[in-house]
Amino acid sequence: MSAPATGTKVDMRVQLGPLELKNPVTTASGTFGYGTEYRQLYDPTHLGGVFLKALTMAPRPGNKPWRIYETPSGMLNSIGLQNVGIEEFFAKKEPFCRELAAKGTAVFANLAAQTVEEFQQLVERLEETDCIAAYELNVSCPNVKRGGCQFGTDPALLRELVSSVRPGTKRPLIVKLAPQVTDIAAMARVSVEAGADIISLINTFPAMAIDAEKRRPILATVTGGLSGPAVKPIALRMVHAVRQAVDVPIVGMGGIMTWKDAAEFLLAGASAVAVGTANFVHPPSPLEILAGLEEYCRRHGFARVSELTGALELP
Amino acid sequence: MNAPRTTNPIEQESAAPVLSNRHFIGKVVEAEEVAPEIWIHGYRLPEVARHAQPGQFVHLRLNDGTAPLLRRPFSILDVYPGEGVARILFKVVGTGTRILAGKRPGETVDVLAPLGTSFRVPENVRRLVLVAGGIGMVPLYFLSRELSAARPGIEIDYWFGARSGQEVYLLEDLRQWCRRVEAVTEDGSAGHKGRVPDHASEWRDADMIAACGPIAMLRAVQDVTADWPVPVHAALESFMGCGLGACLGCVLDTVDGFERVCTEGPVFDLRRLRLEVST
Repeated sequence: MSAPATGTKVDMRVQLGPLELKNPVTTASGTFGYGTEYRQLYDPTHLGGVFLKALTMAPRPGNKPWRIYETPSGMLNSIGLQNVGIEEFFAKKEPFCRELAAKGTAVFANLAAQTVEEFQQLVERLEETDCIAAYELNVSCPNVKRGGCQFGTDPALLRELVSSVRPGTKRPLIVKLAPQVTDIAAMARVSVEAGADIISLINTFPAMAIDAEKRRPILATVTGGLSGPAVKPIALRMVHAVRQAVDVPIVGMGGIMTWKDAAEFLLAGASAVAVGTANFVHPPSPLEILAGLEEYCRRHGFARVSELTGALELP
Repeated sequence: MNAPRTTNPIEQESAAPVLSNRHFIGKVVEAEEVAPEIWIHGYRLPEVARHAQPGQFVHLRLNDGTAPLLRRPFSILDVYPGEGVARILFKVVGTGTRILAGKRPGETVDVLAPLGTSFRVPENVRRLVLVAGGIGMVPLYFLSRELSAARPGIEIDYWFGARSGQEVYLLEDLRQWCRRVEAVTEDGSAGHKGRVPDHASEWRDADMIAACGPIAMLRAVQDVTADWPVPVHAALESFMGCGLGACLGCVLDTVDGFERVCTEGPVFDLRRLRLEVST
């Protein structure tokens, strides 16, 4: 570790397996659409990467309202994987993904499916475009009746899924882990053994909110997924646990609101971070986090942001 | 305040900090409790004042911390482009609005605005009936004010429904630009006793209906105007995440599937909505 002089540029590039990101700040799937929605506020090509809203083969209407609700320092959502489907993605959304990729912002396709075959079909179809850097297997959505987190909570199913998708692409496979398991490190190990190149975590926690006056659940689906600062300490612990268990790079997420939160995730073992709920609260968050991380590195004498990964000093 | 502002009460200041063309920090220039727990706030937001249309909303961050976490959407009450001021009217209903009500002139607010769709009133509309329920009066106040100024001769009837007379306000303002202003309260403490849709027979010669209020009221308006040959539009609300169309959290069900209140709305053709009173 060499201490750069004040004002010296910090090298913000990070390596995610075979991928080089221009910086470690990405936006989490489902919180950033397909990148276009935030263009009215800033240029998303400043980001290291964008995780696209989940894609399924056929369009999905999603769940009935109400779909979101605020909880203490957090929020519940139950969108239900509403998305345009793969054909509409190619027709309407893919062009902007190409723009992102051309400017060096990695585009990660988040794939959701009810069967192994559908995951395979999604990969096969997306191999047709060169703008996708890697596939994130969404085995952890808590808000759909079938598929969803069943792959992410059963080690045997997870192994079968990852090893079945693996031969279909040379691109990196990212497995997005569900937090509602007894041993998240074991799920990471299974993923890597079956061929995953990168682990991302955590998805939202299954959770619920109740309207006592009406004696009814708030969300139409009764339960939803909890995100935001409320889950951050749990997410940090899980990133730390997965870091101990596997050697592949980690994309850490869960309640990251500030550069300080992001630094904590990198120290716990993540190579990159994903900003989720903060996009709703303060849209410029990812850019401010990026600037804050750079300043943090300068202040602590890190010439490269990648030196932060796992640099936690344990007692 | 009882009359539209004709003079400039605000000192000219430097432009509000602009984070992007939709994201601003605005100074509070007016904070007045116009009825119990009902507040008008004026914010210095020149860009919003210049561009906002009736029906659009501001998505407001309540504080810098994590509780409350999400922004809250507030319908715009009116704008003063000359002074660079946009105003909202809100009711204190929970933690977030309680914090907002505590803001005083000189403090700042962080807004994404103006967001969403606005009321489109066809040129041939000569007589417009507005149907407001409670805090739903806000976008219709803006609409009636703008239209009366932009289209001299248009006849606007404003029906304001509420639970009691304490929840009926700004009638004197409305009377300045509406042909007719009628209050309807459930307890009869102001205006007519009953509910606004009870008076639908008096709306029959309207060229257009615009409504905003509780889902039950909108359902009643839907039912009563189902076969009327005029446009019936409404501004809706929902729990909201990003306000920008990305999170898909604020959808309502329509005849064409789920649509986002923040992007396809908040103003919808009321006949297209599948409203469930339970939500």
